[in-house]
Amino acid sequence: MRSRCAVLASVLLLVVHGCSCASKDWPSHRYSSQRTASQPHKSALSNPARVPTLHQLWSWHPRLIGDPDTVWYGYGAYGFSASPVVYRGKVFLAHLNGRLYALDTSGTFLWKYPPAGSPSLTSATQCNPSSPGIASTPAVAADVGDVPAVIFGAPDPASNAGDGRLWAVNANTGALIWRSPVLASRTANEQIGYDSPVIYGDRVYVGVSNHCDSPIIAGKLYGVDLETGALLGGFTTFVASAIRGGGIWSSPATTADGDVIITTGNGCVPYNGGCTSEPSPDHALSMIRLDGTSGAMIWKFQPVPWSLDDDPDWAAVPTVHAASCGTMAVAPMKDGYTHALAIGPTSPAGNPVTLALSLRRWSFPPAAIPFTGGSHGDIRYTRGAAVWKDVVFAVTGGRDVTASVTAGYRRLYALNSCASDFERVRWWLQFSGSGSPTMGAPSVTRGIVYIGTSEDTLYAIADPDIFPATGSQCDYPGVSITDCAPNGFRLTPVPAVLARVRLSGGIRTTPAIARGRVYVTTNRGFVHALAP
Amino acid sequence: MTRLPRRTLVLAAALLFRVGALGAQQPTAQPAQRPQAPPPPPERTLRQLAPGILASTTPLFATDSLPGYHVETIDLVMGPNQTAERVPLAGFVLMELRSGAADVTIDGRTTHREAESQWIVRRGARVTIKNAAEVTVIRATTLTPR
Repeated sequence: MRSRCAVLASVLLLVVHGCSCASKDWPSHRYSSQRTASQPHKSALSNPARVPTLHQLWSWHPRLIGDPDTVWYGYGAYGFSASPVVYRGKVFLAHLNGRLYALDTSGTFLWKYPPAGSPSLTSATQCNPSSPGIASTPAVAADVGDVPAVIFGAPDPASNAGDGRLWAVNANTGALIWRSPVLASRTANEQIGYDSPVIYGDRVYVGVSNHCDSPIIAGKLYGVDLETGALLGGFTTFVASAIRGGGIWSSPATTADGDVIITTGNGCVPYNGGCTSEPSPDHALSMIRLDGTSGAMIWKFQPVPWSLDDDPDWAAVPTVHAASCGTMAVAPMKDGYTHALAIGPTSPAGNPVTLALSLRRWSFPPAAIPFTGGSHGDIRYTRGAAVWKDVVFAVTGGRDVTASVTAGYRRLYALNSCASDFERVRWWLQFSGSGSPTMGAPSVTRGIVYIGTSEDTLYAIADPDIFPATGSQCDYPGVSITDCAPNGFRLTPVPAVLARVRLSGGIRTTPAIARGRVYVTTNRGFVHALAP
Repeated sequence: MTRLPRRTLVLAAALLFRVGALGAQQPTAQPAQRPQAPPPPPERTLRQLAPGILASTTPLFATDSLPGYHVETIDLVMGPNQTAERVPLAGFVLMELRSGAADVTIDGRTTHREAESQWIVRRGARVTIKNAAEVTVIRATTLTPR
């Protein structure tokens, strides 16, 4: 009875608030609250016969209306850290210069928030691209007080020169609907940073990290009311550590039944917070499932123990992957390993750590968890995974991560989610260029993957299920075709690159795929719209 | 236990330090203002060293700067269910198991090695390695008298 009511309630919520799960738009970070980065609807972008003609339709940058394209963050200049979102004919862009922009889908500027003449939403603290302005991707809610609203996290210059809040503005006009209470205290070195809010029903969740771990603070996950921005009653704010550590640098995802999946950053150690022993509790470096109503922890998967914490923040967004073998939460970790856990039960059942270990479906490369050794540092595998059918597309370290920890920077992996470890690698593709990592975050539409690089290029790659491969190579990089099978490895197909288009700057963001167009933001501060 | 000359042990210690530094591509534990990790190295390729075992096509590191020795570091890689009955090695070898697990037999004595285990193979020893994991990676630094 309870499950039937839950289904009915879910359907009702979707009717009331609009369904992003099968949208032709791209209304939130990585498409949906499940962060699948997967556009399921057919379009020219999913047609391998048409994709080779991919070309730019238009581009836009803030300097066209008198705002800076890039801003200084303390060590360099940067444009967009956030990805585009698209909703009902409008493209919404959050910029590190502290403005939220709305364009129409022909590239015409519509409005910005704050409007001209008002101070931008910037922080007096500068340390990396997460700090100066709006670093995270907004989310669109279909109905907040009878209007669609854009929800985003940003510093408030009027509050302690940059305390972090959530903001809701009218998607049609750019008028402010509400501001949340302060969620990230600049005095305490907290910020919302890269964390994109996630919407489920009438709830919004957002995580809090810090400015450059100097010092590190205890990560937090807040829940606020979608209609008012007030803190949710009954939801206990999740705090990741008794002292410091476990900042939420990624973005929360939600399960189909409204629980929240988060990943947390590194813990408090001597050099970042003065901890000479592990705090208790310590929920750093973990993937965690929280009850979406109460905030209670259901399970916690912590592959890297405190003793091995060399700063492998779990910075990639968790992806809720509905595969044929079950629903999993999947995320690459900074150390180059990718982990997948069955979503599991809907309520706490025993010890959260033991439960999580029992729910682990696979790690790539295969590993005994928790680790007892090895290199687990700030290796920069920070991009979230995209999923399609039973395939996970990820920028991750690969089977040779222990031999060459950075080799995966230039690779995109397709992993078979439901296969054995031996058959985990579906294919991999090597790109040219440098950067740490070279690749942005992938998106996919019906088997065609869109991914940008630090070398200013957007690629479209076809899974061999929908377009013939161009050859084969060993699943273990560096091993020749001749030596592959005799050494116990497998030959895998080399997917076809259907298109590559040079854009204005490096791409660390997620391409947004909506109604036959792909929108891409760059670190030069441009947004590009492309179509076949 | 094979007894090694004092000079070799000193060299071995120095090289272990050096090999560790080679493997430590990740930044040291510092606040986040530090530079990001370095650009990726050139793509590594592997060749068949002997049945059951692959080796780097080109050394990860090589030097003649140590008096009297040529020093070279390579990766040895073994795939699933592989055994290398006789691993051809030159000179003294410092080995570090980077990932996986292996049963390593040196002159008839077998030791199970797990990740981060390090050991020395004396010059001319007969070495058999059986992969005991999915993929095993061993970083090997050879010291060959010049």
